[in-house]
Amino acid sequence: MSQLISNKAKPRPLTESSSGGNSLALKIAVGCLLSLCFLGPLSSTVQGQSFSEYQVKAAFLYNFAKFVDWPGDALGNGNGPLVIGVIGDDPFGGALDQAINGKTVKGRTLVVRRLKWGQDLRSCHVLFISSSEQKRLREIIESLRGASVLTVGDMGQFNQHGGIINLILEANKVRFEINSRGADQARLRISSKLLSLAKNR
Amino acid sequence: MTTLSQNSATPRSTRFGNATGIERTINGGLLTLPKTIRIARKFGSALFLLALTTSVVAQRSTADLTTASLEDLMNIEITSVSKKEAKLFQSAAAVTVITREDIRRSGMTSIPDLLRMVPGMEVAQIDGSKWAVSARGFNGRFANKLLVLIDGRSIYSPQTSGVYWEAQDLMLEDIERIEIIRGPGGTMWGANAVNGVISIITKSAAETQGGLIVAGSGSQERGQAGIRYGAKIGDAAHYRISGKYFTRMGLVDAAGVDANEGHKAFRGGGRIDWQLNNRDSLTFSGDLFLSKIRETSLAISPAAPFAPHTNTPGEFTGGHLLGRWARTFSPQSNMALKIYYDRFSRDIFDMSERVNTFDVDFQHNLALGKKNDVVWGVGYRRVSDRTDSTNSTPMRYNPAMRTVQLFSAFAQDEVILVKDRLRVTLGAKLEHNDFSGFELQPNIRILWTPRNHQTVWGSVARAVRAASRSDEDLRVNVAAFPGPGGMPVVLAIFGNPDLKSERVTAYELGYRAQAGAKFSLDVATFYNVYDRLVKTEAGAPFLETDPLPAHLVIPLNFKNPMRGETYGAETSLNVNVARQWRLAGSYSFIKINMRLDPLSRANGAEEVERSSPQHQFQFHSYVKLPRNLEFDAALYHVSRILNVPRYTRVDVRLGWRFSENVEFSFAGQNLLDARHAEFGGSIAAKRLVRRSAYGKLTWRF
Repeated sequence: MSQLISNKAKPRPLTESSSGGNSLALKIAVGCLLSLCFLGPLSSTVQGQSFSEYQVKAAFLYNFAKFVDWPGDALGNGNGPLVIGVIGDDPFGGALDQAINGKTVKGRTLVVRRLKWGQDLRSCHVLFISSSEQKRLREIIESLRGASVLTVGDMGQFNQHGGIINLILEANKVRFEINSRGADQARLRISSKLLSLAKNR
Repeated sequence: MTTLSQNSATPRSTRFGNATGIERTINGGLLTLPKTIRIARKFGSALFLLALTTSVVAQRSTADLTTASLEDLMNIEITSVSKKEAKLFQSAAAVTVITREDIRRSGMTSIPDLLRMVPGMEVAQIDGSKWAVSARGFNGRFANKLLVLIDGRSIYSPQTSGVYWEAQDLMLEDIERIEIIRGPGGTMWGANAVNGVISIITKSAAETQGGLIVAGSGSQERGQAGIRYGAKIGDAAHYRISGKYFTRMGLVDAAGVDANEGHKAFRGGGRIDWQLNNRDSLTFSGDLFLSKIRETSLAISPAAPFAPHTNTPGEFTGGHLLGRWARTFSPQSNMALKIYYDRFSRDIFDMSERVNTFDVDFQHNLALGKKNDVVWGVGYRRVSDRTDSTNSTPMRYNPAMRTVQLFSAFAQDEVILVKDRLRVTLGAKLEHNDFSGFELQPNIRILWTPRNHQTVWGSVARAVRAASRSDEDLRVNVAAFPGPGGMPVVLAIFGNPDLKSERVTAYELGYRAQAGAKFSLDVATFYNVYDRLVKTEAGAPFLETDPLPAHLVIPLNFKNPMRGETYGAETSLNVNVARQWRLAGSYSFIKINMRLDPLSRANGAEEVERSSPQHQFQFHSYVKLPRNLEFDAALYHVSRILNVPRYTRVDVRLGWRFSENVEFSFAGQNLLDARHAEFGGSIAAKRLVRRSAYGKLTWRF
């Protein structure tokens, strides 16, 4: 490295140095740049788009449904669907429907319902509370008292207000916090895997 | 004045396109590198073009994230928040955002260097510690038409009208993002945002929990070290403390000899973010710094040897305390109150100065009905300074101490004319400063979204660069020589209390297009009409006997004799070729035409015209390789400016994530040539930037 840097050669015009190519650094640079140009198309088999926040959060909701057990009375008999509700302004766009479309968990089809305050929230198994409902958070949580609804949110103080799983962003990665007391009160059993991955408070 | 950062969740925020489109590989790997290089050498750029075209037309494929494990999900780095992206896509201004991922992968080690990646930005290193940074022309050491803020705190020196980049720094890992708006930001940000605003926003304390240590060393960046620790206080508050040190080599002279203009600095500070309840949040931050430099200047004196080069040490110290209270009244209404105190002191060869700044401002956002989004605010700033000089220091202020006040108020209404399609923003800022009195800066912006992934915007704005302390009170000796008959002559610049504010009327037109998450294009064009621009004009010579010997002073007085136009375009393209590979490129053009009042004895219009590179282009590639490697490369081309030939700069960086918490990176900079100049302005001697390399360790715990 040090030779590269303390190069005492006389300054050459750019054009000469770029065609002369007798500098190791230049060769490396050009080689690297060229290789860059080729890496992309070859890897196009794994071509995918970058993921937005709510695409990732939708996948988390799916996993929560997978790793939480509801008491028998909450799921009901037969093979009724497992309902994921979204209350308030839907931040997912189509990402949630796309994520769970056609999927089953515990032998039940997943369905998404969009709800407003005043509608029956207790019919959901998972309820995502949008941050647009922040002011009403206490009321919503209160209205679910005694029901086995897994509340999920992504706002400050969500768990302190009785929400069960709060999604948070850390260094552009999605993490989650679990309020186990809330889960107990809702008679939900959260798998040890989820608990172990949750952020310790 | 500082609403850009306060408003960080609203328009003016994140970057258009997929700024952080760098994700963890979930499926599959890549071909091995050597083979790729061989193939690449054979086919070269033709294939590259092909790759670019195919990737642009390729359909977006939707990977099914539900098949990924929870652990994998937790490792996906999401792209910048989509809501903000949408807002940015719809901002009626030329906005660029440098994200933390951009910062990490640039390999750059200072804030001005980071700004090189902004399309159309003019960044030139002057010596070991000084930079000239501007947008859309008028670059120089104290480029005075660009406002720079850190968390809403102005670092634009009101004394000199410009930024002391040698004193400004941050632990780069603490930066959340840097928002750059080219063009007048008059309405929201206030005076001096004539050609642009740079707003540096640091991470909240909640995002910097745990420990971080960075350490590195290299040929130019001799030593760099940083340490940070963050934790919780109770349930609702987070804090962090951090410290940074670096020692840097200076640049070299034309023969390649080190000019002994090194730079070293210590900096320490902290931040607390406290969520009081659902409605209220508080932020406190503060820091202290010590920055030591060596510089070469001209020791002007009326006796022989008149203007010898002299290499002297200089010291900058200072710090700040900032508090901010934000309250959300309802989803339609929120406010923020910010107060800060900043101390800055400069002890250096030409003149010592101490500056105290107190600033308070208030801002209220309010949605009126479904069609109107109103922002208004008021601000007050008090700046007091004390300068120490004698009649023989080359620079002095008269009076030596002064306190100035600035009052401001602004209001802006964004009106939706056609839902999702057409919006108009009207705004104005009224300021009162002690130098030029009242200044009104209105603007109108229109945003048309003909289709969901295309926007066209236009704006007309009026902005001013307010006269400052130096414009009125400065005297600086710039040259000395023996005159006719042996009488020494000193050329000195003098401030002018009657100086008027510089004005611009700016017309802008822009276009953005986005194709899925793959591809985005941004074009911004501008036509700026300036008048009352400041230049010096020779006045009547007079005799001066202090200091001795008696000498003739030819005063160069600040006047407003210049007017002119600039026009140009900045265009950038972002392509997410694959999840592991992102390309970004930009090209910018500027033409400057300046004219002097024919009755004026001033000169130097041509100097302004030629101080900005007419053409700049850059190309960036960010690749994620298997085995947790990253390979990033950047090429910058800057066309010639006065006294500086065109140059091309190539930087590369190799990053290796050794484990979840430990990362090594190696960077090579300015690889193409042994050295080149970037700045040719009016400093004592021209300095050249060398080829360099460094290695760095980042450890989180």
